Amino acid sequence: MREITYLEAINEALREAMEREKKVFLMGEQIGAYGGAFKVTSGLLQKFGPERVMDTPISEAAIVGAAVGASLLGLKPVAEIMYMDFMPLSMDQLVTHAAKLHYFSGGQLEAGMILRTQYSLGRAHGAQHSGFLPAWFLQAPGLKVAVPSTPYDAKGLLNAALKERGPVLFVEGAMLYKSKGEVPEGYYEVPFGQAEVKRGGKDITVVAISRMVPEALATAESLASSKGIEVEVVDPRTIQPLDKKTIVDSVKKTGRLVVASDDMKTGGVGAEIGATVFEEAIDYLKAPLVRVCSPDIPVPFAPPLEREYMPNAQKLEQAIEKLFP
Amino acid sequence: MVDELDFYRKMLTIRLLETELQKLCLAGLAGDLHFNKGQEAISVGTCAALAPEDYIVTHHRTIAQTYSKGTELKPLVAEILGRKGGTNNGLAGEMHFNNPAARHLFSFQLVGTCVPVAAGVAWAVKNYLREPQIVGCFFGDGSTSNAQFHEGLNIASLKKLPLLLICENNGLAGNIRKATYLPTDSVTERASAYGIESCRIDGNDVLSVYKTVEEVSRKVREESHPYLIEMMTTRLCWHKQGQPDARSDEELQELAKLDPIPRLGRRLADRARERVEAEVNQEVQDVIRYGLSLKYPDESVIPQLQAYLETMAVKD
Repeated sequence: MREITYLEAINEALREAMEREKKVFLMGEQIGAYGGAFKVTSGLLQKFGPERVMDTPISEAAIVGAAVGASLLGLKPVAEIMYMDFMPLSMDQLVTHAAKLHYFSGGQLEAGMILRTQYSLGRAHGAQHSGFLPAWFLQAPGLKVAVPSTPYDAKGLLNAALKERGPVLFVEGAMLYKSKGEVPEGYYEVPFGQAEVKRGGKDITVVAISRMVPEALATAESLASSKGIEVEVVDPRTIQPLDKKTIVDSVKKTGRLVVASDDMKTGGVGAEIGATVFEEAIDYLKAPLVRVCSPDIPVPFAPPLEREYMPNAQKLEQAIEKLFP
Repeated sequence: MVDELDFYRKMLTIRLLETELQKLCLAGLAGDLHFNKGQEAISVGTCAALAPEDYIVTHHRTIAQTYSKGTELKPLVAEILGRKGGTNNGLAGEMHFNNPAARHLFSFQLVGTCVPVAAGVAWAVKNYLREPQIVGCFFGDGSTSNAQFHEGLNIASLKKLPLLLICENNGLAGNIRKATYLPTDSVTERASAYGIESCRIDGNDVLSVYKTVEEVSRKVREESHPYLIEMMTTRLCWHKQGQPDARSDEELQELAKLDPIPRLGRRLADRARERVEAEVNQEVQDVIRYGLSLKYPDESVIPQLQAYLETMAVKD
């Protein structure tokens, strides 16, 4: 199968969706002629025109608010928020309004919209352009959250997101944009709430999120050859809904759980995953839960400090080794 | 069409309904409510001048707009009382009224947040549905300090959206006065900053409201651009239940002289007016009795709602 990048996969999914359905339109800051801050929407204005690719002012609340309004009349807006750190500016519309509209109205209204954003941890973008903040969105029933880690998942999840009747937050990893992988041409879906075991293993479960998925796979390779430890890498792919069953089944098999994610440790996604396992499989655990995450401080700017701050394959490997004395 | 008697009937219906609901509030039979007393002419005049196909998006002081846009009294009262048979099965309440069938899309409890949403609806009407409807967005002068109001105006002006911005200027933001939140003389100045045409009218004169909206909505529809009407009005009630008014009784009595309902009533023939008053009174008593006779939704619905949220997502 052909290989394309994560970025190309998202661009292709958007283009195909717009060809398929008139109701899909894009909006965001400099997404038109400029093609987006990261070039994800490159070429789409030229192909579909300004009525379907709306360049907006720097106006995060209005971008998401207008997306909510358009979705109420049956449009399918795909809005881009340039950095995940900017989400609080649009949080009101996404969490307080969009997520609740379907429910509030007893099913009469739908706010089926996608909010694409990315996090740039690892690019020396500083503390207000690097945040990975997915746990904020776990307390917003009605909102779904996708965190694709591969080009295949990115395109498939975006296709599935377009069929949702409520809002979807689609979090891209900027460090993954250039990563390559097999992606089918044409339409396919990766369903929400379905984790994928990216690598099978019997000794320990690593639930890895977004950028930490390829890191975890590297760790698994290394540990298999150096120590003979077989790591099972589970990628939830969506954290809301969370495929608890795949995670719990894996832990029941391996008896050990590590969560690897770029978000901060306290109150992060790892806490929710750990709690789920404690609720449903505590008797199977042979070792304490370990979370390999970012420390609870804002992201430092200086590249060596940022490298020290971030979780990575090596840190994950060390954490796992400690569980096998 | 200007039908003074019908305007009077509608304004009085809202007034008496709210009066009865307030009694229920005090008796602990209704939750958090925000009344429209003194501002009824705006909703009644505006919605009468809009086409039935036009959309409205509103704020939280919304019984008047909901009713004026065509929601029947029975489901409206049922929803306010949180009963079965409400417009939203008791999930929304007064603050989050919505009735897409009557083209009242939603009421936004966080003031100012309705403006960008209304802009999005207008975008969809213009660029997707390509139909001649316009979108009416109601908000108070207090909400024009909110960033979302400004972001919404900016984008509506840039994209030339068919958006009619109705500012209900009662000179209050909750329990604080204009000097605390509005540094300009008028809200129209805020519209001008975004290149949006505007005018200011007496919002307590229902005939003037109707005439202005009729004229302006034609312009918005034909020329496709936003327009702001600042309607000067008087809130004759508390901000909400449980928050006694900061204004003195004397001031409220003085303001009551501007009440839009007797003002219109004085134009009507006594017999016709009295007949309407008797009919409205009866209708309101009946609908309140009806509302109180309805059951609350069963508590067992809570786990069902959770399942519903999880499963509603994907269209088959």
